[in-house]
Amino acid sequence: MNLARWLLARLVSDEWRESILGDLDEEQQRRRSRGQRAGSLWLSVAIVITTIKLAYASRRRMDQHSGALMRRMHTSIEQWTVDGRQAVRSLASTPGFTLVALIVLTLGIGASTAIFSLVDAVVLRDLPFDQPDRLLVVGEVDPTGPKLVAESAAYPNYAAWRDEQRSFQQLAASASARGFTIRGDGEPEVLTATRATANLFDVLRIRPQLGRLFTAANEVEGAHRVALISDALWRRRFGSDPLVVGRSLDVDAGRYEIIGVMPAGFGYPGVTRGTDVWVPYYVFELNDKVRTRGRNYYLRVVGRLKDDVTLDQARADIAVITNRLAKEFPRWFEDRAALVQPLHDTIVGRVRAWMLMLLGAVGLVLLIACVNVANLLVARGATRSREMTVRAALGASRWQMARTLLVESLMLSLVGTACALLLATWGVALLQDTLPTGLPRVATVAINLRVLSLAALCAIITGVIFGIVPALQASRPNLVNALRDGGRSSTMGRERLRTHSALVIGQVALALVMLIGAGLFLSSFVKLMRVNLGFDPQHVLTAGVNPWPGVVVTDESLERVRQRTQPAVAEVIQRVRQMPGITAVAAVSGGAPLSGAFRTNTVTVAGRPPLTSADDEAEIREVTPEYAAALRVPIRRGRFISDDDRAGAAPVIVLSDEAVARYFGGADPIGTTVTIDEQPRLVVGVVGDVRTKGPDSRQQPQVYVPFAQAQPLGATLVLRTTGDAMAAAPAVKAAVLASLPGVPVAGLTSLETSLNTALAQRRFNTMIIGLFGVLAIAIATAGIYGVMAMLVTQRTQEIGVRMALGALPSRVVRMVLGRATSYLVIGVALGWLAAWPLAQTVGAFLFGVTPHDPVVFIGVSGILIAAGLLAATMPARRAARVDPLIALRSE
Amino acid sequence: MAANHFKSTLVILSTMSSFSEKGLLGELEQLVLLAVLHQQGDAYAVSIADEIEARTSIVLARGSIYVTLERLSRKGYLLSHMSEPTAERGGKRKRCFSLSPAGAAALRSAEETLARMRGTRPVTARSSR
Repeated sequence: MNLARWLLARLVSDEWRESILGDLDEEQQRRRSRGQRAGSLWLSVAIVITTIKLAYASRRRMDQHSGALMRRMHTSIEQWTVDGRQAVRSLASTPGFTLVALIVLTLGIGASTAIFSLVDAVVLRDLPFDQPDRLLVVGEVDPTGPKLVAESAAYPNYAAWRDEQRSFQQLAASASARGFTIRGDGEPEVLTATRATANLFDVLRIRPQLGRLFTAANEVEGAHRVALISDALWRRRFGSDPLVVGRSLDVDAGRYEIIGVMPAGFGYPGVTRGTDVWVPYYVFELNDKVRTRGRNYYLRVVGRLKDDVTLDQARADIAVITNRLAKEFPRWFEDRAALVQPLHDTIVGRVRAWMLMLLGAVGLVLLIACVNVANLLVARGATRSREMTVRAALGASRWQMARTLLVESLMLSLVGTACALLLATWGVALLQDTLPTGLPRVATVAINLRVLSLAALCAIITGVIFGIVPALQASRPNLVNALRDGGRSSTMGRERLRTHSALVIGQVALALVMLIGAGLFLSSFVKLMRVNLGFDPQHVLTAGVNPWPGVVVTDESLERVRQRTQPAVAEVIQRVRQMPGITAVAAVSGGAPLSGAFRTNTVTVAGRPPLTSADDEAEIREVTPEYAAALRVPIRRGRFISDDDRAGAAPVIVLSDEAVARYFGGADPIGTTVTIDEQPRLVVGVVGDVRTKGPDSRQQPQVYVPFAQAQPLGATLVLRTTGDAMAAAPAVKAAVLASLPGVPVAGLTSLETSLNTALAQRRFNTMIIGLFGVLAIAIATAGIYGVMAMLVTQRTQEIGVRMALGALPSRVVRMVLGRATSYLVIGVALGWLAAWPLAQTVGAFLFGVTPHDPVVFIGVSGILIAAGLLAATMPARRAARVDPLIALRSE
Repeated sequence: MAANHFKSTLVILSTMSSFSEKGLLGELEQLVLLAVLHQQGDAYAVSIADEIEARTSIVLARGSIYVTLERLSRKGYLLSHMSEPTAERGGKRKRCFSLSPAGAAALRSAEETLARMRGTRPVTARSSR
């Protein structure tokens, strides 16, 4: 409809436009009153037809005085029509060729469009905010460590920047929120929630499409139970109810009042699939209020620069404040530095390299596809050289002959592009469903028409070049030779053979590069799946319990809260233990495995020099006795924490293998004393290492202290179940509610789910690159088959003569396979040369495999050669079955 | 098929253009001019189509009417003005047509030409005398 109106506006004069629309309105009403169908589709079609007719009529007037032009146009339309009809006929007469070319084009263009659309949406496009280049992220990084833990800020530092900076209009903070799972009727849905300061929306300059925003007054515990929901959630869960404002949102974390709906496409911070719910941020972490020993980096800080301030000035401004803080709290800044960078870099920075790699892969596939189509077209040109020379002899001009092939190529490309559009549409939908969470801006991915046209253009250019070259070759002046060569001679033209060989070798080389990439990713993934996590994630459910959600934590209330946590958690454990199907239940403070949460501090061993670097800090977990049993963490020496390690009993600690290696150089630590959190503790046992941050993380030392001897504010329950972990979720929630009425249960999830989330990006990488690898090998083998088949066809007579003169079929087979082998070997060698430096670039994405892993390089080369030879056997066997009599008679 | 249709349309249009170069009226042009004449100044695309259908049972394509009206206006045979907006048309104005003196003359000469060819006396010529 809009397209029709746009067309009308562009092509038809103003006075006509209005009266035509009016006439059509009138006609539409009349048709309806007669009971005929006249919907908006009818109207659109009517507008388009009328517009085109009218526009054509007025355009034609310009040509009226130059009849010659008109006639020429007429003739050329006639000629193109003839060419078009001829092209359809000729493509239909070789269905094999047409089908293969179409499949190759569809796969090549479709896959590259889908992937490119993704990259464009995620990396290349501007952020959907007003003046996005004025938005900066302020955060903290470990200047010595890997950049991956960048950009989060601790609350006291944020507060200092916010109050002292002079470069930004405002600084706003946000953090992720857990416990936003809707469990009403139907499937429970885990919502992505963000806690944000009220001025975040001012900074981003976003207004709700419905309702109102929350204000600074909501940033206080008690006034914070208001929520803004995303457009997507509004449509999905509330059926676009215009009266949604005022309704309530019931999630594990409690009941929130919906006060507004954000506009479509807004999903800040967009580092997940787009946020579903925004709730006010209020300061409740105790560590945030005062600078205690532990540091907590979790805030995402964003600000809008004042109009006359540059990025460098803002950096200097923040640096001055940070330097002052560093003098005041040196412990907080020994491994931290402030970072100020454009929001765009932050959002896409982490995935840029990954996306570019994906883009490289898809470019390679498109290239292979183009080379393949080129080869097919050249081959086709060869088989038609006689037709071409006959036409040349009959006086057809070069242009006329070229045009025939050109029309064919164009037609192939256009149909291929149409199919590719379907494939890409489906592919984008598939990508959105399977993409790892944590990838920014996925929600905004849509087919990108610019990209589609670019890919189609590549295909068309390939088609044009390789479609026309044979025609030009065929129309060379020495018709006599050409006729003789094309019609009677039994060997392929040397020049043409060389083109083919080059193209086949090129394809093999490109396919090998792709396959080596696929091989590297696949073996990384296999290695990753084989990593010993140090615990058994199957049948384990985790649930966060925060017993005092309504309490404002102040320095005075802190001790009381801590003292009440212990009995509350003990009661919940007692209750859950009595549930059927639970074999072990424990509480942990300091982060369950794979939850992303952890707390570290320095460990000192009496009589040994202290290890002060951040890397040598230990992850500290306060756990109840069944923790090791619930996770099946092996006990190496001594014992785990027991019920006897009560508050008031001798302080004890259990170390992990890595901690023993790091702090004791591997010596037996049992019976010695270590100091952590300023508390000396007796080492009573050693347990295995646990990969708490996922299989591909670095192993840090870990220590466990008795839950009863610590003062945690909250805990995560870890339960081992006999059956499906999630099946126990409702009962666990009920048990918690029974002991602690009104307490929300956050993060009810199984460890298997957490593990899958942690592996999602690698799984996706492996899947997509593997798919490209399969695509590459399929296209390359098709290419080899095609060329060998053509070679055999062209040399049927020669083979017939050889066999008539006594050549054995096996010798003929060997001849054909020999040629295929030489293509493959040269292609593989070139592929190695190209893949060697390229492999280095994907090194960062690999795990447990070096970029030049010999097994992968040799293995995939073998696979490619085997597949190529297999493809060549069919033509070879056909060659061996050539009947000399028939072959010679056809001469 | 579509290409063929397109081509034949093109042929017809180009022949028509050579007609008009000689100051002749096509059949469709005559039908439209006569319909405008009958409607006495209130003629617009829909009413013209209705008039022609009512008198001859010929149902013309919407596009053809617009094209013909456009061509006749450009030749100066029709004058047009925009009407007041009406509610039943969604507040859109009509483009109303009336016959210009040149249009009336062209219509008359077309009838005379045909009559001369048939060897009869033209009806309109007689009545207007």
